[in-house]
Amino acid sequence: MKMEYKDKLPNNCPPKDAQEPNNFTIFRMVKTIPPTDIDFVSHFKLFPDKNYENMKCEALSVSVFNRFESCKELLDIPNHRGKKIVKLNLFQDSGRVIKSSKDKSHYSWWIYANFSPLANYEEIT
Amino acid sequence: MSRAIRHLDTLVYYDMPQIFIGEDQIRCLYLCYILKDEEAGSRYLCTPVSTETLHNFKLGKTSLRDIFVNSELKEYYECIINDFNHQAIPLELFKDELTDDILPSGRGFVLDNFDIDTDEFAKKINKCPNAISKYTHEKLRQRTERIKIDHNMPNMAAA
Repeated sequence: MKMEYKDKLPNNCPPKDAQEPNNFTIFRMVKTIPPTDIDFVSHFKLFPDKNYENMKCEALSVSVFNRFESCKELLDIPNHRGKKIVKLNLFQDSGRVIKSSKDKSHYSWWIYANFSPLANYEEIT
Repeated sequence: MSRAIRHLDTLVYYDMPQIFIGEDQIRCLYLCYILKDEEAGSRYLCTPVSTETLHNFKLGKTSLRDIFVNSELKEYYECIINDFNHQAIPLELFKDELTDDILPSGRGFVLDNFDIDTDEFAKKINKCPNAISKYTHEKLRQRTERIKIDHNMPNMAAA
């Protein structure tokens, strides 16, 4: 069965080697505890008027880390100061992920339409 | 001519570039990090850097905060980016003090999980003619010291 994503994705997005995870632990920054929908909205959806030309597919994903320390380090940057970190365990029905970026623990996650991160998170900080 | 950069390489990505390397019209390199992300564009703070400083940052030997606080040229710029493909992103001189609210806090942001083995940029990087590397600076300092000593030697002997 073909799964629908939260966002309408362009052709070849996500990349073919993006995988459906199987009990894959990830960490993401959120503005508040409890998190809200906006904490799991892609940058493209949040700021649709920016020019994403060669970055559209990536901008339609949400960033996550499979290592807590990498996520925590970002809290030191002014733009993320005061944010919280939540943990989620991703399964096949959560979407597709691929290792991306130069941080070895960074993944891009394209969320399936039927998956609710808000019903599956665990508070870390 | 006003100063402008183009995006060369993203070092830290999280929903969008958080820390990136830019290059200006005379191929000087800049390290930039995000201050604020808004609808009008993402605001970044930038400073010129040497390739050596960039390398040390990638290896986790120096923090983002240290690079800005101990900036080699003590020059700071800000830019607002809406389009990372833009080849001439204008840089505005940042005239305010570097206060704690705009500097990285805690450990100052240290890259400790950077994939240096696949960092193609490191192999291709061009040397910045404007940014003086700490190595070069130290060598120049040592040379100057030697010249001073050599120059003083006859006088000391004469004395």
